[in-house]
Amino acid sequence: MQRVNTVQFNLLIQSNRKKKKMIRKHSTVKLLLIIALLMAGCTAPSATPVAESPASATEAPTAAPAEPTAAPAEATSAPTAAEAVKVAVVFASSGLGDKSFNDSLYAGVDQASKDLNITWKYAEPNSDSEYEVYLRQFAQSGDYKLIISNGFSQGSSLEKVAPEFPDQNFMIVDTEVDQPNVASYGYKSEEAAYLAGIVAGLATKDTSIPNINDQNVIGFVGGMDIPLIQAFAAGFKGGALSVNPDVTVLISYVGSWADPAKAKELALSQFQQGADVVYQVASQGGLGVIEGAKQSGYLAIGQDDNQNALAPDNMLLSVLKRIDNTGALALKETVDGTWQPGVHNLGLAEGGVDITNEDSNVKIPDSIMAEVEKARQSIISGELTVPTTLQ
Amino acid sequence: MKSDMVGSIMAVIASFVVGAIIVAIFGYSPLAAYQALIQGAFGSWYSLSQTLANATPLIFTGLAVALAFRGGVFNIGGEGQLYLGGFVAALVGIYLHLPGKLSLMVALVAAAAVGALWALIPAVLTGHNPAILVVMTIMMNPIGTSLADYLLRYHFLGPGATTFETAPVEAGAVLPRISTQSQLSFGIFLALAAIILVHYLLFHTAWGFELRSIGYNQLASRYAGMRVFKNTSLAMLVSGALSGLAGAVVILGIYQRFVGGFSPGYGWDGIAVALLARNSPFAVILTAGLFGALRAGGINLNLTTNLPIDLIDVLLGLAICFVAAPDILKYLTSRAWIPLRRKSVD
Repeated sequence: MQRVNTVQFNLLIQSNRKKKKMIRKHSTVKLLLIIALLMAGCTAPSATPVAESPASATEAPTAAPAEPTAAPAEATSAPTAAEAVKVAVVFASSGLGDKSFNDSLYAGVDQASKDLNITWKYAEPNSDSEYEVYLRQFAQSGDYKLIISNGFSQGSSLEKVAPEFPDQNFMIVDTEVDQPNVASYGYKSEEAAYLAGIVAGLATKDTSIPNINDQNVIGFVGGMDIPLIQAFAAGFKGGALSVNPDVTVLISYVGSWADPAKAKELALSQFQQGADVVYQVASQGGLGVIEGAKQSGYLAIGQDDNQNALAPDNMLLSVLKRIDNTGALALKETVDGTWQPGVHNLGLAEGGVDITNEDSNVKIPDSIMAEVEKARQSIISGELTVPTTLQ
Repeated sequence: MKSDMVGSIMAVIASFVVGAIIVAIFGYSPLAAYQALIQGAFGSWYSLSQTLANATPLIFTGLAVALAFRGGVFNIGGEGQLYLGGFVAALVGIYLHLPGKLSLMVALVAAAAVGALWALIPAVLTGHNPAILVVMTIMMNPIGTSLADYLLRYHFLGPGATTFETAPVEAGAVLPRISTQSQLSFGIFLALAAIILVHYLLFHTAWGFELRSIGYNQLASRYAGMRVFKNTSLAMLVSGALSGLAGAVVILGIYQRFVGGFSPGYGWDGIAVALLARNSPFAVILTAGLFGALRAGGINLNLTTNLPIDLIDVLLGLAICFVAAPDILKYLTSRAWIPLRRKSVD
């Protein structure tokens, strides 16, 4: 007991070397333990749901695509062959390898830069606070003809940086930034939804397709009951009714962007009511719809990315936002000198949206695809206007 | 203590040497890489201010860990504490409509209070068992971040928000930036004040003495009549408050709104900052500065060379390895350079 007492004062006041060494050793062990724990903590799926893709919640198809008025003060002289145009990309903080919009933009810009003899540089921010830093550093260098901000989460950062460099061209994908030197690219997703509606409307009557029941009912599960998502529903319903006037289209909304459990319940309920194809526009919640299709043995339609591989036997198709084409288009316009700031909503005509059956084991009959192609042509030619509101 | 700091400096130097070797192995020029790094961290007023901006939250989280560590308790819950702190600071700044700079002050106090509360919960629940406290503080992290995310998602999203963030805070709650172009805010002065405060608490108060005593030897301290639980709980309280402030300075200074998932791991980095600083409050400014410089320089590295920014994590990881396992360095140096010294010491 007496020893304990002396230890305490040795340690604190006399700094007994031997004891200190012991303590240090002891704490080293603890530190290693902490590091081990830390690593365990870090490898856990980082609980930072930055709401990666609130189901295309960003472009406003209802807003009239404001034709850019004033041409930018940028030089229009075509670049000489000797000096390649330089372009910079700031990816969203989800980083490359997301198998989603970052990878998609990378593929598009990479391909286009090869085709157009462009050199490009990209940055992968660690956190959302770094968007501002990268955008500013790229702009400060003055080397880049165009700086691309990928993803709606960069909106507020670009809003801050763009006015600081009025002569620098910026573009942002999937949201709107109202600055004279920014081009905002959105998507007319209702056009692709219309095509998906055609496929679903015809498929629900064709029992030769696997997982199709004998009832003439299809479903739609949206993230939130807002005009943006209603436009998807309107396009989908319009497409289905155009080829199958008697079809019943069930429409439900989850009420949030990230509630797979509720989305799944809604999908299951629609399947119970006779639906055999359910289209999800519910962002992360959409995975619940796909899960519901798998569980009940029916079909789902994916949104934004190609989700067919998630459940190859239960995916009819996926509706795509072609971020890759968006990047390629902007690069081409930059090289041509036709680049314009303002809002650009890309539809089928511009290759901004599409549908795909790739990676799915469910074969869509050629007769259905022929109908799709017909509708696609009439949408592109302007003959057919896709509804954006539900009647 | 002095020899400890030498160890830390050695560890950092060693990590840069090993990092250079790694860079060279992958076919890049280490010289160009470090040049870009230094240029990006100190090359101009702008880059220096970015370095300090990056360091600001890390000073707070580093202090938070160091203070608790002095008392022998490991507050690994910094991430959750700062996340909630930042969240509450934003809410105060958006919804309370307080006049002028009162808004900022209340927001900071609220952030500190929430951080402190979040740290106190595990301290109280675990009672006298510090080993469980470590686990508890870790577990409080996902609970804290998920709670804030839940509240944000369902109750506090900005009007018409399509992104995962609140409305901007009112002008009075903004922690002003020192210049418009850099992210450096007046939070850096709060951080410096916090360093002095923690130093004072630890080394010039009776509580600090008791806390350090408990950290050295809990049993002996208890035998000497010190109240271990009270002291360590108080340490967790202060530590949590510092973490909460870390979140507040980022939210009110950089984002000026709450953005879901805003922290790239300030709470975790704080542990490394404290570790490298050997829990010395004044050394925290150096190690947090090092982290800040590497992060700021890493951006330049990424932009001017083709090296991935992940090199920064490699460097920091190596430095921490060398600090945590000092014998590696000792062995290497004794064998390689001064084989005789070992004998003479023995």
